[in-house]
Amino acid sequence: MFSILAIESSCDETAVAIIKDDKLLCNVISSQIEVHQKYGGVMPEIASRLHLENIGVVLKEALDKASMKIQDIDAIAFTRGPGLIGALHIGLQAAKTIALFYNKPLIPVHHLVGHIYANEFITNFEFPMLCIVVSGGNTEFVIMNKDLDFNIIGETLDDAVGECFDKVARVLDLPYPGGVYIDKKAKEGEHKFLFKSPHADGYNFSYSGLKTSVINEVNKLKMKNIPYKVEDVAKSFQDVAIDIIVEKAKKAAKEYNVKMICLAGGVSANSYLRQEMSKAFENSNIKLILPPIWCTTDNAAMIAKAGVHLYKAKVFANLDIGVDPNWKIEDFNKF
Amino acid sequence: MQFEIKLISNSKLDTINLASYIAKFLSKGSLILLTGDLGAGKTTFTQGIAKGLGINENVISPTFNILKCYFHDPINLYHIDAYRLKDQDHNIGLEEFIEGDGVCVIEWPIYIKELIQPNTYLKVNLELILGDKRKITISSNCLSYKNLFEELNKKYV
Amino acid sequence: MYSLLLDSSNTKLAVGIAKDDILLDKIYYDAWQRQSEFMIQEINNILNRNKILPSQINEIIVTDGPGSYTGVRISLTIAKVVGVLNENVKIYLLSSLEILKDKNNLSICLMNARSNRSYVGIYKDNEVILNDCVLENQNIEKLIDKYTNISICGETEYLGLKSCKYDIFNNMLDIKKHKDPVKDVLKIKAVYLKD
Repeated sequence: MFSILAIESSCDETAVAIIKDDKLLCNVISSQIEVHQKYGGVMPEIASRLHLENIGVVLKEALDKASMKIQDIDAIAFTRGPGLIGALHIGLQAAKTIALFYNKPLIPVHHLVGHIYANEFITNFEFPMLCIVVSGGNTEFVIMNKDLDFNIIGETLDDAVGECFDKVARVLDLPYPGGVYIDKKAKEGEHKFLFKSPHADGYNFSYSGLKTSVINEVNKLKMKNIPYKVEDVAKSFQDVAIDIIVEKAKKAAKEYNVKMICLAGGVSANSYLRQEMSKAFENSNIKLILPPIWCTTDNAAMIAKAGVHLYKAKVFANLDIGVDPNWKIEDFNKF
Repeated sequence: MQFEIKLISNSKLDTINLASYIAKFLSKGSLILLTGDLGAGKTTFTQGIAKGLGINENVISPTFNILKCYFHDPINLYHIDAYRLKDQDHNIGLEEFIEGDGVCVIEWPIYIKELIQPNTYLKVNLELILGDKRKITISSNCLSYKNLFEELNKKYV
Repeated sequence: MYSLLLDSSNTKLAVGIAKDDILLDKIYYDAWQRQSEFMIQEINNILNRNKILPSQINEIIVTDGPGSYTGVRISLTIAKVVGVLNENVKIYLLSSLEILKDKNNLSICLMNARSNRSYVGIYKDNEVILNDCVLENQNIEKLIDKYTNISICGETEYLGLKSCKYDIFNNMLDIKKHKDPVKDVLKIKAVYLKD
């Protein structure tokens, strides 16, 4: 068996995880309080979480937690994209440095592939599988016919669903991250408003119309001094934003004859999405994987998981590999 | 501002076509500041710029990622949304894209104003009128856009 | 004792290897925005052609700024990761302006900081006359005029100034002699100056 050390730095966080013999030995994220406390004062303030001087601390903490030496790691996986270009560079350099100085194979991992494989911490995959990738930066329907096989059958034409949640939250003066608060408020609200469906043809989506529809309505109410309950707007919005995903998921599951469906990305933490997906498939033969909440946010454990598969498939990169902030999931092994 | 023109867009397509037309007048180092409320059409406008530059990739909102790069010959497109940088650390190296080797479009420029040189940019303000209608005000103090404004006047006014 | 020299703070990619403080080999070329791709590969190349193993590197001499945000962090990340994983490797942090100086002469070292500003530092031998800072380009000429016989160093075409010749690799080896290695590698941070 073998061990993989994974580095994730595609956006706000720097994270390192180690999987050995299929067991997750550690999953360290730079904003974890414990990491701050242990290195007392070394860490930049959480407010400037876009800084990535944390790589040293996170790397050391991960190896300590796993009780491993870098020499004993078999391969280094890292997020090559998509993500924020400046952030990706840090993970790339760290991974390449270890690869060169300790002579280890280098495995470039697609961030969304990581999110999909996070579900493998719950159960083994069965194919064909429909992966519903829903996050702040992405909204895609991906069909996997086998391991490491990704076919996009639908995506957003403008805003990602997670981003739409954040923007609507802004309009409602809810704090960041908006998605979590919309989810909360919606539980206490009623579906009173009619907002534009994010429908687009096939398995595509268009969330910008829904976003504008909510903004227009709220502005109208504010201008006319008509009182409204944030809870009702949240519920009306969330219903429309999520229902379309469930509806298209049912269609896609049928059309592609899938055995399994998984959710991937930050929005898979949304309680209404989880509830409706569960309802939609409770009486079917299709197995639904709902990732645990810790899997839904960016972390290196999922990159390590994907790394395990890529290692077995010998998807290795040369030392002159660069990042790709626009990397498409279907090109996961092209770099 | 030295140059200014006000136009009405009746649809998303109108906005995209206008932006696509403007893109023909842009070159390496061009900077466009997009202002307007949430939902006014800033990303739609950017989709038009991308189209005009010959970029086939789907341009989606960069709010979450702050910066999205579209690498393309001969001119790259850098799409920045500074909204998340309000009250936050700006030190993430955006200058290299703002004064870089491509066309740079910035939404919510107010949150990174210290990174922007005065009189070097084209300003586009999008205002919601009703439904899909938008009032688009394009202005600039930069002489290199003189030709653009002359042509816009001929074409649209 | 083998030293690895790294600088990616501006438009160039600079990798050098020294033995007992004598420069053995160097790689130095324009790689603006591409250092992230090529830096590690060039380190690999320079070690291979000099038949040195990465594990034989005893110290890394690296610039920590000022300069390009992305560029500075590339070399720093490499140095930091090596230093964190191997406590026996010493890390020396140098100013990316000081390495541009004209040895044995008063030097004003300049780098484009964009937005009509420059990173500026003034050095004479091992003394810092003006600490690295950010200045408006319009004030640079005045500053230069304050000194007689000052060497202008750096990629100064953007200012319309001609630069003297400088040797960053030998400068790095010299400057290192007057520095202490980093005590806590975990605390290595880039110097941005614009903060």
